[in-house]
This record gives sequence, C-alpha cells and structure tokens, in this order.
Amino acid sequence: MTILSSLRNRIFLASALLAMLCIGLAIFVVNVRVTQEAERTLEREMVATAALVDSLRTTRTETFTQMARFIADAPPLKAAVDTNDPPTVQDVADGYQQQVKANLLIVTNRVGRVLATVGASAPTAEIIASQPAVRRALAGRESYSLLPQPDGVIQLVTVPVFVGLRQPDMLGTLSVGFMLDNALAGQLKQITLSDIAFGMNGQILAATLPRTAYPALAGLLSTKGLSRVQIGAAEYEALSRPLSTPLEAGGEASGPVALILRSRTEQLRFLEAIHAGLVATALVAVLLATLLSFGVARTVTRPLAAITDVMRDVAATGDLTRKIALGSGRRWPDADARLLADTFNTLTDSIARFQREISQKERLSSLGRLSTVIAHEIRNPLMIIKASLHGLRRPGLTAAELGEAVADIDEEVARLNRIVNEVLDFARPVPIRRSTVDLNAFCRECAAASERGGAGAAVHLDLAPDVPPVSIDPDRLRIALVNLLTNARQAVAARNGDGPAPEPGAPLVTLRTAARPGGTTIVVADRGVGIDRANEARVFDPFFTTRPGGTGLGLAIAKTIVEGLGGTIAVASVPGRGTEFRIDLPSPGRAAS
Amino acid sequence: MTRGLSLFVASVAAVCAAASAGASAARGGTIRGRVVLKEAPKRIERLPSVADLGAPMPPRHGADADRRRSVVYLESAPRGAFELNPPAHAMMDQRNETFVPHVLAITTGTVVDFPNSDRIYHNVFSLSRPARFDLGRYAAGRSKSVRFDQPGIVRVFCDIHSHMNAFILVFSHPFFAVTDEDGRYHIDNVPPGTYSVVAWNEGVSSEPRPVAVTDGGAADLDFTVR
Repeated sequence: MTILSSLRNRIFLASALLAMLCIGLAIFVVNVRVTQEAERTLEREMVATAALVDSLRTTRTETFTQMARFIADAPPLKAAVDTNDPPTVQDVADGYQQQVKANLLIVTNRVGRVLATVGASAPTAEIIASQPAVRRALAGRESYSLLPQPDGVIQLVTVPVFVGLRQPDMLGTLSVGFMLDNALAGQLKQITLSDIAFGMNGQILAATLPRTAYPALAGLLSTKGLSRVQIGAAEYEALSRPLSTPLEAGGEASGPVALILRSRTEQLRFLEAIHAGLVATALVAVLLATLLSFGVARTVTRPLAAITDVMRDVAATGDLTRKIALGSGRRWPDADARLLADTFNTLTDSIARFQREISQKERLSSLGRLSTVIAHEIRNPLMIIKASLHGLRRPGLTAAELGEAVADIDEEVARLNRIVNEVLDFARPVPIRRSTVDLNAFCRECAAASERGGAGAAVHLDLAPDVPPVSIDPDRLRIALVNLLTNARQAVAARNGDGPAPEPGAPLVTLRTAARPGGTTIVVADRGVGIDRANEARVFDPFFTTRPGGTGLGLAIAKTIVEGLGGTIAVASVPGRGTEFRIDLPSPGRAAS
Repeated sequence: MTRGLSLFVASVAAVCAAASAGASAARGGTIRGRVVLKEAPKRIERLPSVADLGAPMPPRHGADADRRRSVVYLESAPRGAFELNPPAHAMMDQRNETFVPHVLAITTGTVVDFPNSDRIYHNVFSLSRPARFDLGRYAAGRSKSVRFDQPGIVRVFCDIHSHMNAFILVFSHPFFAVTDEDGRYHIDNVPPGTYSVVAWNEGVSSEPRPVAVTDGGAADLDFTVR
C-alpha cells in the first residue's frame, strides 16, 4: 500500500491504531464491568425485595393467625357458635369484623355448616366452607389457605372454635380472610419500590401494573428464580415467590404466587448515561490520540524531510558543499536524524574529496596523454614543414616545387591549428546557452553539414514526427552530432575496402530521432567496420583513437557536450556489422532542473 | 344422634299427651341403669394461646370426671307432673376458673346462684335461646342469680376466661337424673306407664329408648352415648 510506504504514515497509523485499541479496550472493559455490576445490583435488590415481601407476608400471616385465634377464643363467639343460631352468630361476627377490618369472616358450626358470613356472598361462603381447611380446623388443626378470587387472592386463616382446656369441646370454625388485591400490591410497592403481582392457577389476579400486562405476567407464574419479561416498552426483571410453602400448598405447582417485578429499563437507565459518557470520552480520547500521533509522527519525520530536501538539492545541483544543518535550538533534538545528517555530510565531504582527487589524477593522466599526442601530432607537421623549408632552400627551385612546398606548409599549419582548436574545445569549459529548437530540423541541418564535409555515404534520415521541441545548446550539440556523423561516414568508407555491406540496399548511415517517456532520443547508426570489443569501453576517452591522423578528442568532446546538456551518450557495436551511438536527451522540464 | 336442644322444644309439648292414667304420684316406679360413653371426648391439639396464661395448670382433679357425668331424662313426662315442682334453688359455683358442677339439671322456675369463689373476677353469660343473660363481671366472694323459666339446654360461659363453660339443663318436669362419674343413675317416683328416655352427654343425645315403669317396680335401662 502506498499509504504505508511512508514512515510518517506508518508511525501515525500505528500510534493512532494503538491508541484507539487501548482506549476501546479500556472503555469496553469499563462498560462490561459497569453493566455487570448494575445487573448484579439489580439481582441483589430483587432478592432483597423478595426477602422483604416474604417477611411482610409472614408477618401478615402471623398477625392474621393470631387475630383469628383471639377471635376464636373470645367467649362471646364461642357462646354464639354454641347456639347454632345464624342470626346470633352473625351479630357477633359483624362486631369482630369491624374490629379487625378483615376482608372476609366466615363462621361454621361443628359440622361445617356456615353460621355467619361477612364480606362474601352466601354461595362464596359455602364454597370456602367446603375447603379442606374447615375440615382440618374441625379436627383441631389451624390451617392456612389461599383461594383465587376475581380481584385477587384471598389469604384465609381457619382456626377451630372450641371451649375447655383438657378435653375441649369443638364448637365450630372461624375463617378470617384478607385479600391480596390491588390495594395490598400498591402498599407493598410503596414499601419495596417494586411492582407486585399476585396470581394463581396460571392467572394474574391482582397487580400494580395495568391489566393489559396480565397476560405477559401470567407466563411467569410457573417460573423459578429470576426471569425477564417485556411489558409494553419496558423490560422487567421478575422473581416469583410462592405464597404458600410447599407443605401448605400440598405440592401444587399452580399454587398462588407473588411476582416481584422491577423495570430493568428504569433501573438501567443510568447505564445509558454512562454508555453515552463512555462513548463521548472514547471519541475525544481517540481524537486527541490521533492528533498526538500525528504530532509525534511529524517530529520523527520532519528531520528526515529536511535531510531529504538537502539531498535532493545536492542531487540536482551537484553542489557537494551543501550541508544538512539540523536546528540546534530544537526542543526535542533527534539523535537518529542528527546521526543521519552527520553521516550524509561526511559522505558528501568524502565524495567531494574523491572527486577532487580523481580530477587531479585525470588531469595528470590527460596531461600525459596530451603530451604524447601533441608530441606526435605536432611533430609530424613540424617535420613536414621543416622538410618543405629545407626543399625551399635548395638552389634551382622550380616554380612547381615552390608551390608544392608552400601548399604543404600551409596544409600542415592548418592541421596544427585544428589540433589546437580541438584541444581547446575539449579542455576549455564552454558555458552552455540553451534555446528551444525543433529537433528534427536540427538533425537535418547536421546531416547536411556532415555531407558537406566531404564525399561519402549519404545520411539517411529517419525522423519521428512527434518529437517534441528540445532545450539544447544548438551550436555545441551540432559539434557533437556532426562529429558522430562524420565518424559514421568514415567507418562506412573504411569498410568499402573490405567488401560490400552485408545487407545491400539498406542505408549505410542513419540518423534517427524518437520520443520516449521523459525525453527524446537521437540515434546515429552505421553499417561500418564496427569497434573492437576491447576498444568499445574506451571510445569516449580523450586522445583515444584508432584512426591515423585523429586526435581522439571527437567522441570525448561529444560526451562532454551531451552530459553538459543533462543527457547521456552510449555506444553499441558489432565488429564487422556496424556501430550505433545513442544520445538520450531529457525533456525540457527535466533538463532545466 | 341429634342435638338435645331441638329435641327439647318438641318434647315439652309431648309431655302431657303421653302421660299415663292417674297413678299415684307418691309412689311410682324407678328407672335405673348406666350410661356408657363409647369414647372419651376427643382431645384437640391446640396451640398455646394468650388465653392459657391465666389458666390453672394442672386443672383441678375432677374436671374430667364432671365431663363424664351425663343426664338421663324422660322425653315425655306424665300428666300433672308440673304441679309437683316446688320452687327450688340451685347453685353453680366458680372455683379455680371452673364452673362446678359442669352439668346442672334443674326444673323450670329454679333460681341458680353463681357465687364467685375464686380470688379473681368472673363473669357469667349465655347466648342460648332458653335463657339469654349476662351477669356482668363481679368480684370474688360475690354471687349473682338467674331464674330459668324456659326449658332447654343453656350453656354458660365466662367472658373473661374463655375456657370456662358449663351446661344447665332446664326441664319442665322432675323426671331426670344426673349420673355419677361411672354413669350410674336412677330416676325415682316415676308414675307407672311407658316412656321414652333419652341420655345426654356434653351436648350429644342418645336415641330415645322406650321403657315401661310399673308401680313400685324398677326398670333397668342402659345407654350408650357417642
């Protein structure tokens, strides 16, 4: 990925990801713990509430039982029951009911016939009197029962009514009932802050919740332990508590049950606030971490950028004296960047030194070769000139001899002058004057100039029409190109002695131009003798020549010019088949840099 | 078995009709026998309550014996029996938080005294149809009286001590007897004739049984109650 190829991006992304991961993990852990704790608290509260409800219920039951015992033990009731006279009993029962505010009061005689009823219709009283509770009471045992009513569960305490101590005389029974209805559920809710429902036989009979919730609650009656139920928009945690102990209920699964309900939605509302807070914190933290990561990444890569800038500058200008100066006043000095900068500075110093040494050596070497060439090249004309001068001193000189000697001297002087010019061309640094020219037109001109230089093979032009204009020094590049064309024509001419060209009909010297990405290419190809492999690497060396009479400076000068224009020159040759010189010029934009 | 109270209402009317022809009131025969209780009254497993706090523990000996006493009476009495009733006085004591005796049989018109022989307050009241009364609470050593004019069974209670109770059986004729602790009884001076006799114990009556009484003779009649 290109984004990751940058060190700064990598550092930034890694830091940002790490920060996000850490923050996310921390938030997640906190969230999970808080949620767990809230759930646990809710469960604990439910269990505590259940214990409270149980305790309240037990207390209530005990109170009612005591109350029932007191009433059953009251002599007026005993005397009334003994009369077996319903109106008499009813009077007494009414009196007691008003005192204890019981929802239901039923008195039976010793055979279980109802003598008095308060708070229930006669048929209801008969139904209640037919319950096992009354039979148990007549056998002398108190009993506790729960019966479903349309508006709740009635909690019934049935006690025997008897008289006497050692061998009591059973007179009848008394049942005192209290409703587990909406009103009681409401009272329990005030105490426990939980919603309460009473149900039996798979039916909810009373609850603090609206009647529409009854079907949903009914499903919870047979559950054990904590469960959850969705009522309307709220989710409730529910705990069912049997109202009767298994002994009392006779092991019935459908026994009366109190449901304790707590709205999870309400209880866990604070969790939502915490969640929102955590998310906001996470976002802010991630943002800060991202900014910080970006800052850190920048402090790491800024010195690198500075170093890179200088390196690029050095590469473009070749100015090896440029030094990387990392600000010493920086707040956080970067030892690694400083080391890199110092190393680079040392490297450029070394390169500059090596360059100086190499150029020194080259100069000495060139001087030596120059001396040899000059000695040879100059001595020859000088010898010819001396011989001509010697002939001129001879008596009896004819006009023809005179003319010949003068021509020889003139020719050799011209030759000397050419040698001096070439040496100067090579040695003297000539400033490059750039101008934008049409390369194809320029090539035609050079080919013509080359053909004017002497007889030989014609230059075949193979010019690409789409070659863009180039930015060159035309005077200097013309010298190089004409030189190459002249060499090519001479190579073809040299071949003529060896035999015909391998492919007759094909052009012997070709000048080709082509556009390529990032620049243009000029190729000079010939079908001449070619260059020996041993010499191929040395053709651009100054004063290297295989031709008698050559100075060995032509290709060296061409190379200097092309490289001065920012381009390259290369040679490829097959001995006996031909040679190809290739000049690559950069596009104007590149050349300018 | 039927409850005694309802029997009584009917029996009183039948007394005259069933009476035998004018026999000598001075002599007459005797009915005697034994009332066997088939089973002792069941003990009730009861939880201790606040009412027990003031109760004497253990109860006075004889309280159980009192409960074994039954009453045997003629369901129908001979004609002219009522004129023989002398104005009478009976007593039901209150000792150790117990009515003594536990069963009292009297003729109509009898005044029953309820002396308080305890050191504590007592109360005597009844809601029974033949005699509804409430003597209120009164201190130790005092006594109050009630005259019983209606025949029937009257159960008396004390509204302070919930375990106290006693039976007063009020007859319109004198032909009845309270058994001893073993159930033995005898009814004397019964004019000759045929009668139906009932035994009663603690609110439970036996089936009426016929008996023929001869002048100067003794008829044996045993009962099994409960």
